[in-house]
Amino acid sequence: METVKRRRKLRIVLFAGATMLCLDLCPALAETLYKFRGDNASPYPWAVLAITIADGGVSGQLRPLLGDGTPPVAVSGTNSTEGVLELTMGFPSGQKQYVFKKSIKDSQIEWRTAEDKEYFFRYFDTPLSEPALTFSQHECGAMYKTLEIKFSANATAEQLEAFLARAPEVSSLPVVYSRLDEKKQTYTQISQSLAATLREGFKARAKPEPTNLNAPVGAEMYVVQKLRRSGVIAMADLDSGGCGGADRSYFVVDRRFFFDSGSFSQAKFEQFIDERLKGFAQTDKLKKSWGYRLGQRKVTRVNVPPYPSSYRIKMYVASEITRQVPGWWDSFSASFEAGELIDTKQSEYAVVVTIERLKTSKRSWGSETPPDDNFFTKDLSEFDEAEVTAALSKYLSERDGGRCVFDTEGYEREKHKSVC
Amino acid sequence: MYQGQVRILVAVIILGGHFLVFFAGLLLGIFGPLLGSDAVQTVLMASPILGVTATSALMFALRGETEIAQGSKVTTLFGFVTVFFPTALILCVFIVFYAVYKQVSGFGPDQMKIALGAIETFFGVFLGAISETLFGKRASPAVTP
Repeated sequence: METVKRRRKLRIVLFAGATMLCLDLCPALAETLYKFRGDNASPYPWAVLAITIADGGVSGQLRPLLGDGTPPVAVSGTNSTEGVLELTMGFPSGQKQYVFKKSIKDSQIEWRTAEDKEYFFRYFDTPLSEPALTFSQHECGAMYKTLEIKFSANATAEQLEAFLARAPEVSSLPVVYSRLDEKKQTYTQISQSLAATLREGFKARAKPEPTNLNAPVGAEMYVVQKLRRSGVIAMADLDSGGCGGADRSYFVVDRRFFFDSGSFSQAKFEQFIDERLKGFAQTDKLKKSWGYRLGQRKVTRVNVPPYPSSYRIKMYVASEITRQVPGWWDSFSASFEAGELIDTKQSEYAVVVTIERLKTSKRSWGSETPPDDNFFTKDLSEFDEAEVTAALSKYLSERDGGRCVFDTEGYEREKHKSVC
Repeated sequence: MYQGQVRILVAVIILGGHFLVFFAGLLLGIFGPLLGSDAVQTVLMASPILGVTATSALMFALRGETEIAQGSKVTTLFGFVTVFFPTALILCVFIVFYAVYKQVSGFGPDQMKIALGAIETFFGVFLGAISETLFGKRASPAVTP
C-alpha cells in the first residue's frame, strides 16, 4: 500500500517537473505555422509552412492544406540576417532555394521573394484558423460557400458510392449545384443532396470544368477535408472563381457573442441577431425612429461539424435606414449564416449576410408602419440589394466593435452610401 | 321633391364627385402609396361610369342657361334611388382610396384595381339608367330655354 502511494507521488512530481520544463523550453522549440503561396507538391496553389526559427537556423516542413494527403516536404535554411530567410525546400522533383524578405502589412507578417512569386504570411496577434489552413486564398474567388471539385482520373463509381456510404452526414448535406445547360451554355442552380451532386459531377468528370456547388456556410471546411480524404477527389477547394460584384458580404465579431463554454451556441446566435435586427430597423443615422416589422424567423442547424446555424427572416424596414433614400418601405429576405472563414482570427467568428428579393413600396402619409406584401410591387436592382447588405453588415459589425467585409467589385463604389 | 330639384342635386353630386374622385386619385399618387403609373391607372379605372354620367350631367347643366324647369313632383323612392346610387358609387370609391391610403392589410394596388373594377361594373347599370332618366333626351323639354 505504501509503495503504491509513493509511486503515485513520484508520478505527480515527474509530471509537474515535465510540465514546468516544457513551459520553459517548448515555446522556443514550437513551430510556427505560415500560409505559403507558391510551388508545392500538392494540387493546390497554397500550402502550410511549419517552421522553427532558432539560433539563426530554420527547420520544418512544407505541409499540404488540411485533409490533403500529399506528403510533407522538408524545409531547412538560415536566418542569418534580421528580416531575411534563406529556405531550401526538398521537393520530390528536386531541391529549391528561396530568399524571403520580411514585411509587415496590416496585422500580417509577410515573407516574400524578390520576384514576389512565392510568399508566406501569418497574423502576428493570432495563429491561423483551421479554415485558413484548409483552403486556398483567392484574390477574387470565393471565401465561403462556393466549392469546386475535380475528380481523380482513376476514381471509380464504386469508390464514390463507398465514400458516400461511409460518410452519411456529408452525403445527405443539402447543397446548391450549378448545372450546366450544354445547349444554352448557362448554369442553373439546383438544390439537392451532396451525394446527388457528386454523382452528377462524377458522370461529367471528363469535362475540363470542375464541379461547382454551394455548401452551407460554416460546413465547407468539414466537407472539403472529408472529400480530400475520400480517395475519389483530385482537388476540392473554395472556388477560385473570378472577380465579380458583391461576392463577399459578411461581418466579424468577437467569438464571445456566439460561444458558450467554448462551443457555438445557437441560442446566443439567435439572441444576438434578434436584438441587433431590432436596433437596425428602428432608428436611422439621424436618430429618427421608424416603424418596422420583422417576419417569422427560421433558424436551421447544419448537420455536420461544427454544426453551424443559419438564421433567415423577412424584414420590412424604412428605406432611410436600408438605402438612405427617403420615402419608401423596403421588404427583403435576410439570411445570416455563422461560420469560421479563412480570414477570421481564432478570437473571432463571422456571419455571412445575404439579402434577397428586395422590393419596395412608396410610403403613404396615412400609415406609419410598413404595409403588407400586397403593397410591395416594385422590384429593386442588385445594386440596391448590395446597398442593403452593406448597410446591415456595417451596422451589425460596428455596434459590437467588429469589422465588416463587403466586396463592391462590379458596383459603382462612389454611389454606395454604406461601405464597409 | 320636384324633378328639377332632383336633377340639380344629382348633377351636383355627380359633377362634384367626379372632380373629387379624379383629384383624390392624383393625391393618392402624391401622398399615398401609389406609384405614378398606379395612380394614373386608378384615376382611369375610377372614372368611366362616373365620367359618362358626369358628361350627361354637364350637358344638362349647360343646357339650363337661364333656368331649369321645376317639373312635376317625384316619388320618395325615385328621389332616394337617383340620389343614393351616385352617392354610393362615390362613397365606395373613396372607401377604397382610404383603405389604400391607410395601407390596410390585403388592400394593395392590385386589389384596389380589382375592387374599383367591381364597383364600376356593379354601379354601371344603375347609373346608366339614372343618367338616361334624369339627363337623357326625354328630359330636355323640361329645360326652359
